Amino acid sequence: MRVMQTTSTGLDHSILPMRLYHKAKKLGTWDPKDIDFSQDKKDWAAFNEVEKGMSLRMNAVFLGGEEAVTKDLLPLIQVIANEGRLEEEMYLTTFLWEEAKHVEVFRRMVDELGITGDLSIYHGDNYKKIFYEYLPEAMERLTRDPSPEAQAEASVTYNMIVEGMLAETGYYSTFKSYKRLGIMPGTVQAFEYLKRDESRHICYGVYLLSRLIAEHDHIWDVVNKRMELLLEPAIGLVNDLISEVEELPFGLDKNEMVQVAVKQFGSRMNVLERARDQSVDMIRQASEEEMGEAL
Amino acid sequence: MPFEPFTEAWAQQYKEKLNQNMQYRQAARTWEGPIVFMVEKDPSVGLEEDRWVYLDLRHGKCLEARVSSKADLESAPTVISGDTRTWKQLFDGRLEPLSTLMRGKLRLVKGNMAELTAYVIASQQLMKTAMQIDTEIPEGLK
Repeated sequence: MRVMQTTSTGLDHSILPMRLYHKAKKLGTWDPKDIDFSQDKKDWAAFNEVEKGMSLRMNAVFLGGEEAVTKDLLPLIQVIANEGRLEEEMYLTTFLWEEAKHVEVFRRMVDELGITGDLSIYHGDNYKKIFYEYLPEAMERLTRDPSPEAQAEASVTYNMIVEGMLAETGYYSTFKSYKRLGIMPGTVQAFEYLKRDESRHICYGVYLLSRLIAEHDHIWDVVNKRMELLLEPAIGLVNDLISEVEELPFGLDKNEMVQVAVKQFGSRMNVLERARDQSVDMIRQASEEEMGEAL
Repeated sequence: MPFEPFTEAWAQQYKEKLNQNMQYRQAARTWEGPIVFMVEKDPSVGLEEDRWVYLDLRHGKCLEARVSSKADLESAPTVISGDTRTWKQLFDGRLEPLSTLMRGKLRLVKGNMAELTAYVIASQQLMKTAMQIDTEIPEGLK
């Protein structure tokens, strides 16, 4: 017979996923429809061909990426729910809702700027390897294999590589360059919200992987091997984006973009390695900062 | 026969294996320039000085590999260095080469990460090839 947690023991508001849930209720309620893109439309019209090209490539990558992570998250939520982790499931409901809003805001950007045509022409081989193959395969596997190994591979792919390395590097670079130049204010506003949401998502991913590593020591090796497999197309994708032109527009710096990606990867791996010597209780009670939440 | 790492015989093995690695050859076909791999001194395992191997790389081939001089160290545009423990974990297969480099456990003490990552497959294969050499780990680390 099923046991209702809330009628027996209640909810544990002290654990990290529940704290993220409470934050999401306050910080994740922005509405993509409220963002004013009227100045962005004028800025876009004034872009030269190189600037338009870079902007289009980035939009195509972000838009496809947000759709992919929205479509692919459900199996993880189901696995967590089946394990009876109600607080984690509650947080994950906000996670999926936020991803849906990210899809909406990126599509709005494209529509408001008057961009038409099939943007998937900007999805190169490395992009397709990650977003068309590795990500959906790892997430779909959870529907028939809820093992800790499968969860770890899914979370590394989703949270560490797609969100933690690719999305964050792209958001950070685009946000910083537009903001510095005082252009595309609607897009800058959207990126402020996006970065805050993604920061919670990645924090949950680091938490989930840390918990799995603390519960099963061999998961550290699973994480390492998966990272090594994905690093090659992930770095390849960053390079595809920055190598299209000799000099990047908007004051973007190739070396800085690579350094951001490397730094994010390194700091999160260090957190995960520490989990090998931590108890599950320590991880459940860890602060957001310890798990790498930036905001 | 196992080879002591970062010795002349080990460097020759590295060259031979690298030149047999077709994935490396393909990925590095436009790579020009030498690279140095260094192990940092560790008296606790009998390694009293830094030791390094210089690889002269050009268009997917290793033209020369040697335990090299200070001059080689100074002239090489890329130098990757690690402590004995990190190298041992790599040789044992307990660490993965690319992520170890990106985490800074193997340090890029000279060179440009953006340029290196532009050759991500070549860099990965370069390091994986070193891991394939039958390497004898210093007694103190076993």
